[in-house]
Amino acid sequence: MAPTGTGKTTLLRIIAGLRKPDTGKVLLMGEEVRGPTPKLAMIFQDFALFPWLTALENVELALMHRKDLSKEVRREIARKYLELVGLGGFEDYYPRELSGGMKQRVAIARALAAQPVVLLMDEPFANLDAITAEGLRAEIYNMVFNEESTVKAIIMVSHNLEEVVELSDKVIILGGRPANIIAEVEIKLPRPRNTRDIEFQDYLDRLYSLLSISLKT
Amino acid sequence: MVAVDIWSIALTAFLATLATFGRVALTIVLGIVLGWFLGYAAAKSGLFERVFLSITQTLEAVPVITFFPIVLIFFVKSIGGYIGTELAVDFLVFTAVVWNIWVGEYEAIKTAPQSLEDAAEMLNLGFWGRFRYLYIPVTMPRVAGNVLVSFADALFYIVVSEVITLGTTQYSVFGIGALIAAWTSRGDWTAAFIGLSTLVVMVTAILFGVLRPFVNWAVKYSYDPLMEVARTRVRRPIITSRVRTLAARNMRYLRRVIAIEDAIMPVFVRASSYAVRHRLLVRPRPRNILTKTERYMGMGILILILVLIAYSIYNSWQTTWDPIMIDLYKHGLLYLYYLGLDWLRVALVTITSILTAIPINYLMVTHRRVEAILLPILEDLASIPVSAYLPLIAIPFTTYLAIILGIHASLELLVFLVAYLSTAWYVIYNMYVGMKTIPRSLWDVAENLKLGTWQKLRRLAIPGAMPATITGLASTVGSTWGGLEVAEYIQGLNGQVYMVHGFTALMDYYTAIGNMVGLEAMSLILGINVILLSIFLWRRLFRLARERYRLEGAITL
Repeated sequence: MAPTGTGKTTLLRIIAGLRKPDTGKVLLMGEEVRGPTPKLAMIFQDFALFPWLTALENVELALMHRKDLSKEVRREIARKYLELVGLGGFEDYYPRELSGGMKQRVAIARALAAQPVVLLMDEPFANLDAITAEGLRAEIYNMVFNEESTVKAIIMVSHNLEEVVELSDKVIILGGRPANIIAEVEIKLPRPRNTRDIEFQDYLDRLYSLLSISLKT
Repeated sequence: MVAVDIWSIALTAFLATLATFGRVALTIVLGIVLGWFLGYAAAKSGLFERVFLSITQTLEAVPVITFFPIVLIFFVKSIGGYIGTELAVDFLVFTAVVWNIWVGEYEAIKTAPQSLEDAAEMLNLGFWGRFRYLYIPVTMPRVAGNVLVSFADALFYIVVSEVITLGTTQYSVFGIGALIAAWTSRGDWTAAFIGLSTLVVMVTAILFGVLRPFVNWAVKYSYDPLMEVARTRVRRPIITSRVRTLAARNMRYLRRVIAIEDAIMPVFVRASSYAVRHRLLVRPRPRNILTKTERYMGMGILILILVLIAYSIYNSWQTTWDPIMIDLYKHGLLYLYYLGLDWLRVALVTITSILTAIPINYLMVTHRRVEAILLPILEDLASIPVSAYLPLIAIPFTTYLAIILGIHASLELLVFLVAYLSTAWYVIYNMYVGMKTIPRSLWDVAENLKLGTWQKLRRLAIPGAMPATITGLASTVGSTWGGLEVAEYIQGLNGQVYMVHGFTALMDYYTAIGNMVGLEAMSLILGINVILLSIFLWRRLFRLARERYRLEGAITL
């Protein structure tokens, strides 16, 4: 978490290998990340779906670099992931024919299809209406962490406190210019989490005051 | 016997039109394909970007046809034969249509959404994959927005250039422009009329059979990530069954084809308004920063070019430049006077076009039925090149009217009419895009405030339409020059030549008598004129339009 303009997205793009860091390096399972790799998949704020491709083709795109798979196999895998995110039957729809929540589901399916180890999410719920976002938040945990999934961890960028407390195990708060780590908070709540719990509210308060500090630095 | 004759004439005209259309298609497709690579290179490399931008932005507003004689002489003399002429024609049309397309493609690639570029990179699509899935599709709406104008422009220039007279020799290629010219100069009116009708029918067929469907298809390529389910009916998800998916897809297609609403739906407007909006609204990303090597390389290349130019001027001073300078010294003032006359004509034609465009567009925008009838007609008329029917409309001006008004006034009127006809459609069209994209809510407010027609025009319609009109002005002026070029000097009936006092007329005359030195001198003046204009007028006007447009904010279809 960080106030706007701190460089959250930049940091995420550096982790993804889309940008070279001026100093330092990104390590994934002991190896340096030197460029985009299928082990890291990204979910974008504006979904980044190719408008000229159908939902199925968008997901298939994640498998294009796998030359060992035939076209049919790729198609089958893509279909499976679309079903996993609850979009079975919408394979031939173009992004513009889908609602915001559905678009984000396609984006999640595409990211999962690449079989990444780490999933990077850049404010994935920011462009959804409140109700859709709430529904998707409740589902995303099970979508990403099931027995078929290869994902071991998610790094999510957000400035929505509630979302952060609901989904995270560990929150890192950045602030200042250049950005520093202001605080690290571990969230030890059992899942599924209830936003009305007193403990949940306590975490919200704590994060809120930490964020206020980061705004001042 | 006569019937057989008519059919054989029609068949010849049909084949000739096919040949002409083939040239047009070839140049446009080649332009589009080359544009992908040039646009990509420009969007990615700072050095190339600077070169690309200064060349395209200057040439975009150039009346290319005025440089035609020089190009022609080069091709015809150095290659020669039918191939030389063919190449000269194709090259001319190519240079007339590509700039718009290239600028559009570059801007589309340059402003491709960052997240899509990131996604493409994360998905390891590779160079060709990125081209196929990102850079080519992203240019489609801009290409679609330009395609009507490119088609019309190309036809205009190709019809003129299929017949070329250099000195006493005439060069021609097989095509409808050459045929109509041959028939009219022979006085074969029936044949000329059949040829023209064939052209009109085939232009209409291409427009409605090829270009409209293409534009309709390309609209799906416009990227608007956060746009919610708009325009699409709610569709029930289909349980995964191939047959049913297929059926659904075909139904969708059928529905799309049948819908009458779509048949009169101004697709070109949708596409070109997208292009205008894209040009004006999308915050252009800053130019790429030059790396140190690139800067040195750029400087090196610049110095090399300057040295080469200096050397060639020095080397050929005696043979080339000296005579040009002497010619300029002797006739320079006359050239400037003629240039002034032509600019006066251009200004008059532009103002008249704008004045006539206002009421027509206001009627179209406020009355649906007028719009439904008039718009397709206007689109069609815009694509039928004046140059093709010029020989026919010239007849009364050189005969009947010449007697009544006197030959000078009559020819002047003809020049004005032809220049107007080659300009007005585009002005109307550009302005229509602007007026049509004024937000509905503003019209509602105007109704609500009970504004009269005059007030609505003054406060809403005209200012709302101006940015799009002004942005289009650079290219419409190019079309006006094209009109002047063909009408100021006509070699028509009975081999008689009619000309008025004007810059392009004199250039044509020089071409005809083979005065190379004079031609080069005039081209030099024109070149300087064009560069100055591009720097001091068009770029400023364009920036102004862009700023105002942004200021006025959300203008959506």
